[in-house]
Amino acid sequence: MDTYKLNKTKLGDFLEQLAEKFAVYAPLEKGDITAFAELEHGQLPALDFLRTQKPPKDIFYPQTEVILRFGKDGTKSNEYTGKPIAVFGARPCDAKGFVIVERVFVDDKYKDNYWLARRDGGLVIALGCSEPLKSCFCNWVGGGPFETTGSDVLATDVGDAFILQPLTEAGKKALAEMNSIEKTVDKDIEKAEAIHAEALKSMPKPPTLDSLKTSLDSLFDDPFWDEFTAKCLGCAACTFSCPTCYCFDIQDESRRGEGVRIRIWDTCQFPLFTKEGSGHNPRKSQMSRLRQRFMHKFSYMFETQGEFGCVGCGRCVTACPVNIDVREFIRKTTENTEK
Amino acid sequence: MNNGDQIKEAKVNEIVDSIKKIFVDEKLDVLIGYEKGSLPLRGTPCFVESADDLDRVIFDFTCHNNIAKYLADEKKRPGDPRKVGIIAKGCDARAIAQLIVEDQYPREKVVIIGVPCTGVIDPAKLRVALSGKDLADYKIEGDNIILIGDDFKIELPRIELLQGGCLSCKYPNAPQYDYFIGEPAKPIAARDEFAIIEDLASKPADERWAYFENEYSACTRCYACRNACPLCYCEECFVDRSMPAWLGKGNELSDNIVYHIVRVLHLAGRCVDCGACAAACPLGIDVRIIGKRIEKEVLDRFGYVAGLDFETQPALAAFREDDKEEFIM
Repeated sequence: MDTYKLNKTKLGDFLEQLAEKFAVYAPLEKGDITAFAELEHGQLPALDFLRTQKPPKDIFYPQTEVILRFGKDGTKSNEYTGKPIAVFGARPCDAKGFVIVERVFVDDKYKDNYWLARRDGGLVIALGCSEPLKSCFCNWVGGGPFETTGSDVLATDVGDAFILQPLTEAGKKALAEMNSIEKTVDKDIEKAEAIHAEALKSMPKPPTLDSLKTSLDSLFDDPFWDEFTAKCLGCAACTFSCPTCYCFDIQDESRRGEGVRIRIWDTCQFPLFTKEGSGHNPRKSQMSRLRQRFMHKFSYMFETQGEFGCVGCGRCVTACPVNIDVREFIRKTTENTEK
Repeated sequence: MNNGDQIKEAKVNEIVDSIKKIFVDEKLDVLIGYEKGSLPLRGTPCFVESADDLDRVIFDFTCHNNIAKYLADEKKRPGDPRKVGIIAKGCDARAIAQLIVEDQYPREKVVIIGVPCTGVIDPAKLRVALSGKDLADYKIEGDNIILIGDDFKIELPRIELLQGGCLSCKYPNAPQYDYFIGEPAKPIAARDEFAIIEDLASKPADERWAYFENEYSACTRCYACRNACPLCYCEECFVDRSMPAWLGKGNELSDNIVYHIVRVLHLAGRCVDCGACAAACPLGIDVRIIGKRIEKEVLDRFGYVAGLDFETQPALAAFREDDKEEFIM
């Protein structure tokens, strides 16, 4: 496929044109926080951000979504009906996260209409990471700073421009229609590839995770869990920052003369997550709840999806108020098997 | 990949020997303290159940968590209360005292080990300063801190990295303690503790609302603020009640604001302004401000400051004949 070069001076034009067909979401600064939001006319994204605090999965899967409205006039399903959504500036870990989460919402048997209404016909233009953060560990879990899974186009920042590589038919089609870009020359490709190599080289060598799942399965009742989870506060900072977490709760609320059914993010870290109608709670201790998170990501999802339910974005590492570090956890559980 | 290993300590850890002696003399079941974390300049809570294992305990300006919170958790363990030693900055010690006044733990089973505090690093501020890079070393030169990496050297006033509350903290040393290790610290006194409240109160209503709307629309209801707080120890929090439900569970603005306002109301006369809530927020929302407003109200009305001793009853738990009642009379 042809690759293109987008001069940074033309970024505004590029996004304007994209906005003719798509609702364009990109990172925007809000104080010290960067978050994905829909670009307004003429607005430029903040692209020297490092990593958003909240993952962009909330573009397709909002934290609070009204899925049904009901009142005296009946019940109406409330899918998104706006333009198809283009995400500009998601990181490769975020893009891979979309794929992992989508497996839950869409399969041969079940298709979640609320997810699909936002995701269908969409476009993901991922911006690769020239300078991975020290808390990034995507290369541990089968990813990388210029990983392509989940993206329609991969962008590489080469200083004065972005090199755009279409990866899917949708990406190819979208770029073919853009006015503000030009075809690349060999020099451009070489520059981009050098940046890719440098970025991967800058990341520490990952431990081997081949036996992580079997180690974890054998360690389920091990006393190390008590010590490792003792400082956990049981908040949702990790789960709500995670690109691959997908659990939700459904609530009915009454609002000003009508009723709404809402779907909201839920977290396995809250005690109510598993509390049963009888009052019994199979995960009564915070240890069992935090253990569940790690088992789910690194054992159960590996079993059901064929890969870890973690993209190594590092958000949980920096979000955790008490510095529980998933990388330490992985090292602890693999160090015995590496000997 | 342990960033902590790369940082050379400015001075050798001085407190370990004292702690070892206290652990043995007091026959502690557990010492709740801090150890080196996995991120730059980051201490992390630790629980040590054997005197042989105390070498990893540290205390310095990287130890920002309020570990009094874990004393409240101790109460929830089955069996008899353990003998707990806790390393306590001023705010931690006040929280411990408040917990004891509220009968959350028997006084005789807590050994408060006071340490002097000259402010603690706010992890979010450090993250912004480092821009995700690795820290190789740091130096303190006068009032400045110099952050040193492979390809950078950043110098800035030390107080710019500290938690907001530290700048106006009046109690850097434990008001009540069983042991005190080191020389008491002087308050930083960089600003008045209520300056932010007064500044906000002076603004017109629509500007104040715009401020709160902006801050709290980002809230993701992770409850890190609540869970980090040593005084939020309810077995069942009001947010989890149904029949009736007090508020919605999603992150709509009105629900977010109800959650935060009710939480600080429940902390009225109990909050010690340790800043653990604001430090815990993964989105950097300054959740301290509304709590500070309530703290001022309690101080003005009742002259009460939480956690200074084990005798004074909390303002909202006791009644005095001269309590102002202008709102009902």
